[in-house]
Amino acid sequence: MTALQMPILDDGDDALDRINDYFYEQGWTDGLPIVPPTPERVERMLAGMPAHDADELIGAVPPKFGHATLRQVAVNAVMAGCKPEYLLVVVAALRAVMEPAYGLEHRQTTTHAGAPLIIVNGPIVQRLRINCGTGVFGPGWRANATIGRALRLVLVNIGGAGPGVDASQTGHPGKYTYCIAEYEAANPWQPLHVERGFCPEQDVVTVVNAEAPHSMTENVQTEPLEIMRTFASSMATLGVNNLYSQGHPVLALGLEHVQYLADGGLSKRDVQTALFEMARQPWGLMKNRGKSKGPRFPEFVDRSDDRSMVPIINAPEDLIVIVAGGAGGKSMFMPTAGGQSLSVSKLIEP
Amino acid sequence: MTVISTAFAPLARVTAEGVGRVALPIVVVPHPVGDRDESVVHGRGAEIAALCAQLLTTPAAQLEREFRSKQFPLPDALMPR
Repeated sequence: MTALQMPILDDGDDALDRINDYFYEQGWTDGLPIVPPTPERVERMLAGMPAHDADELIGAVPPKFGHATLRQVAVNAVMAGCKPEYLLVVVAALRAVMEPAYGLEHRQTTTHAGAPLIIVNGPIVQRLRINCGTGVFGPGWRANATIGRALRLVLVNIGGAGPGVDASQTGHPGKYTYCIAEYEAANPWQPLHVERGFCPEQDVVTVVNAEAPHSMTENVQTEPLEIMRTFASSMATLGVNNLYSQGHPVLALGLEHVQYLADGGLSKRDVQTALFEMARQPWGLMKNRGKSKGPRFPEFVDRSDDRSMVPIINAPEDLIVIVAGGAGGKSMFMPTAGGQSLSVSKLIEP
Repeated sequence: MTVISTAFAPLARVTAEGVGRVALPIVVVPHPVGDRDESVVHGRGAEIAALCAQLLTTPAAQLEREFRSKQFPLPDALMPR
């Protein structure tokens, strides 16, 4: 294992272009200009986690196994444009993707088009103004833009997953930044972190290696079963990895849809169970297409019967259901690579 | 020694460096391998079998000289930065 020695440069009055050219040439950026990580800026960033030693090792990031000390993470957070108070979210997200269940080693280098989607829950969402409403996946909010970008820069600069090593055939825009919050105030059910055993007042990140969001429009139907039918058709397509290898795909319910579902008497678990049952394809249609059948392929699928229906998840609770976005009749679906990379939730610790 | 497909050759080099094996002998086969028929995989193996045998029976010091600075072809469609 080697420690990455990221140089901390002094930026003079007119040196910004030169510094950015140098960082780009070294392969230390995502292609966008960075904020030069001067010693002063790095120290200010580290002040965002005052209880921790700057040399504390968060972990060795694959595939290069560079040592992610708190200082090195802070350098990348500065480069990404983070405020110091964002640092603890970046660190929590890094700790989460380094959990074995996430499978960072293969997520960093796969041909699949996944990126670490960071979902933030808890009071910190309001405190840091992490967008959870209108335009949740889009630009305009510094916390969303820079927290996700900081994690990406850590994965590239410390983990070594730059262009070429990251073998993603197409990549996707979420590889620049992919950070959202759940709109807990609009959620009639338990928010994600509470569903996973945390207290409502705790701050939590959940990471899941997700494809780009796919919009599911249902502006006409208001009956829960019909809304769910539209979702199921959009989610269990023959090209989606989860059909062949399941895992933890994400459903981000829009405000109108979640209200219709709740008003119809459905709980979150009802929604998960319904989509577990409905988002399927017959084995006979998919057995010789798509991709190889991955780990955790459901044992209950009868492979001797072409009519046996294959779900995109192994159990209802494997579908991550959150509420996010603004007004309108759209929800978002985010497939994942499948069962080899699962979601992980981590407490955000000061 | 590591056998890797073209898409992952840069990964093999970075990983080897990361674990302190900068001169690791790396053999590159055409991509993809996963999800291909067994006959295709056997064919890829047959094409490199002699080379693998040679690498496994060559003194390590000699291989180190060869592989420390060896350049591997970049994956297809990787644009220059």
